Amino acid sequence: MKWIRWRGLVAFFIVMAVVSAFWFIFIDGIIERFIEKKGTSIVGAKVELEKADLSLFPLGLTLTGLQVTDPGSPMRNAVEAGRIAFLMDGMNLLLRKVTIDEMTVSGVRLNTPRKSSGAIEKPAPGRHEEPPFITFSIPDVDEVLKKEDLESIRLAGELESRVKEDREKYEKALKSLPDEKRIEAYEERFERIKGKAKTPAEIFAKANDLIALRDDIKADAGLVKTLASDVGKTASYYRERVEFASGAPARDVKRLTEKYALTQQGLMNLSKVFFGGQIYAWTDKVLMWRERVDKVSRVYKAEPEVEVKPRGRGADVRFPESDPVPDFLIRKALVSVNIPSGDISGEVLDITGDQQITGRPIKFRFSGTRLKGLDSMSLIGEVNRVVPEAAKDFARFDVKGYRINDFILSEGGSLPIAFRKGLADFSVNANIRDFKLDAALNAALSGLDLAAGKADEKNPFLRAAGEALSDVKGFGLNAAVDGTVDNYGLNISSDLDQVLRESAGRVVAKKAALFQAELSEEINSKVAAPLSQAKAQLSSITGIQKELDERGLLMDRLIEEITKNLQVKGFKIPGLPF
Amino acid sequence: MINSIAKLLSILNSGTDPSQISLGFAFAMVAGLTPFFGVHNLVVFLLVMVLRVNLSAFILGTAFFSALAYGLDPLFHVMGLKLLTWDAMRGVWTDMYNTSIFKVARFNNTIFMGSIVFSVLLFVPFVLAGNLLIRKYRKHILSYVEKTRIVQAWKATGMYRMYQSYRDLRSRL
Repeated sequence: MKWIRWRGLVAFFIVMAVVSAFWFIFIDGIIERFIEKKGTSIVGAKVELEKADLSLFPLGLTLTGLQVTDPGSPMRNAVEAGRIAFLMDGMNLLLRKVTIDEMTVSGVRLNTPRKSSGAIEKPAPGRHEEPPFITFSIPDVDEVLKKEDLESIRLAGELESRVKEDREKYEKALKSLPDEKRIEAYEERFERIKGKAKTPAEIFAKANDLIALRDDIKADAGLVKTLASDVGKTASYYRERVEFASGAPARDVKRLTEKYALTQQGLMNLSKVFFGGQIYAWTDKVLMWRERVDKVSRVYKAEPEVEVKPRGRGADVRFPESDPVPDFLIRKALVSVNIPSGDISGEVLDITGDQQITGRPIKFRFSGTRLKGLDSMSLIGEVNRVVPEAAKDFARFDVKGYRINDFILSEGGSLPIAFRKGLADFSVNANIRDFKLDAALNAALSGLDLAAGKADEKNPFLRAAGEALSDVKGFGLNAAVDGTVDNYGLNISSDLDQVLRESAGRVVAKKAALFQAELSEEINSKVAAPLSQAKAQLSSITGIQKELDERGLLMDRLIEEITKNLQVKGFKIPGLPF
Repeated sequence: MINSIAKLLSILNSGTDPSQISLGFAFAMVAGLTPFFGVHNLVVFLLVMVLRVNLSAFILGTAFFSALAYGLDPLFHVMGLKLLTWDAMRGVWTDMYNTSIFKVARFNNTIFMGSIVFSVLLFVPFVLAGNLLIRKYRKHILSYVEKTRIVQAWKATGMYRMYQSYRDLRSRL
């Protein structure tokens, strides 16, 4: 029998050719879906691609119409790229390594609107609450007291019931202890024993009786003193608590005044109210994208490691490579970004999740000159994961001569602020080492034409603040972000604070004093009854303590008297206890 | 299901050499149990086409073993993981990992490693046992099977008549 079927060889090649043709027809769609799926899983919001086009000779890929949804704002694209084109290293691709020497990214636009939502999950809430929005109007005291939990009322109520409970407990205990009658009985017993003894036998009997009496009194005195000490400690504790509770109304008044009424202190930080929300939002956004970028970082190990795949697809065991090559590497990406002022060009170097292998961080550098309404801008930075456990990132963003035109700082609310015209220079420096975040923003605005407040404003503070701000021609702003990436704080200082403090400070102080007085009266009236009850109960406890002290004193005196009457002082017979 | 059994019986009852049938099933075992889209299966297909292997047995067997593989994947994963993390073999695996052809074949995947070792180890015993069983079947059971209703029903179908015509045509060529 012939074992070779030569016609089969021809059939094999025909089948392979057909399969390859089908593969080539469908591969663009497969790549498109792969990029969309992988990108969506990394970003946490829809990543969409209009078209992917693979060319075999030379091996390269062109992507058209890439849209990356902003996870925090699903109706907007964080980035849109018109065209991305690159050539790939075919040999490395066979080894499942994507190596791109140079990539061209053109037609990049930032923060563009989307036709449909790109959300795949509910957007995560911002890491920071917006700074408290100051309404510049003082609310009604009754309404404030209705919705606020007052420490003073809570403390006074608790204290009243606890002191009452303890007073009852001690009164009951006092009744069960030796009282005046019992002490009188001891005195009578003492009188009976202390008569004259003549014979040695009588002397010993008398001494024995006195010692027995003294022991009985000592036992009772011990009980009385133990309770007296307990009552004393409790009374002392409650005295402190009463004093603390008495101070609570003042603390409540201070807290609520700061919360609901503008104070001089609050005025000092108004720039945080105006600018803080925006700076928090920008910082959170940068940190969110940094977190997304970290998702693709991988730690290369010189030991075999098991990379678990989804169920049914086993696990890939990675072994050390003799000449390690990153799974994914773009050596250089040339990027051209369209912003309303013109085009900004830049480059991103060594984009990879395996920086440990390349030994080089991702570096980016963008700059633009001769832009419309902007003298110059530059952005440089580095994402360094070369030592994965010691991440180091930095970025510096400088803008010079940015001409402001109708920029609305706060639209709604009580004090709308808009810059009609002006010139701004600003720089941002940000560093993240491990988890420690340290960033600073310095801005100088000049030649301002500022519109603040409403024309028909009736609130005196808002009117004063609006007028003062409208006269501002320039100011400086310094913001410092400090802390960890999960928990950071923001400090902002600005010349605006001084302007507002001077212009509207008096109005604020007057209004705040009025609110404070009303609040204080209301809280004190609510707290007075339970607090006075608590004080009365405490006074009863103090009375119990006095009573116990007196009994203890009487018993001590009696013990002393008995000891004096023991005539065998200094006389010791072996075997006797005295 | 009945159709598959009938097809199997048809293959077994045909005059094809038992080695061709058992080889077809053995290659099907490799192609079906291992991950289907892999470079190794190109080699399997090439061998199936070039060697005079029974194609019907291969196609039927591939379908059967592919279904079986779903149930056996956890076993292959455990086997593959043991082999790939076996210290004694670490040097070999590392060398293979640094060789393009093996890396392209994705030998470092636990299911691939488990299933390929399993199917290759069983390949020769499977062929030998297959040969033996087919011969025994033809000698002792064939005449009985020919009379069973399922075979009678199969022979009455259009597909069988078409298959017969095809066989006649091939014998004349």
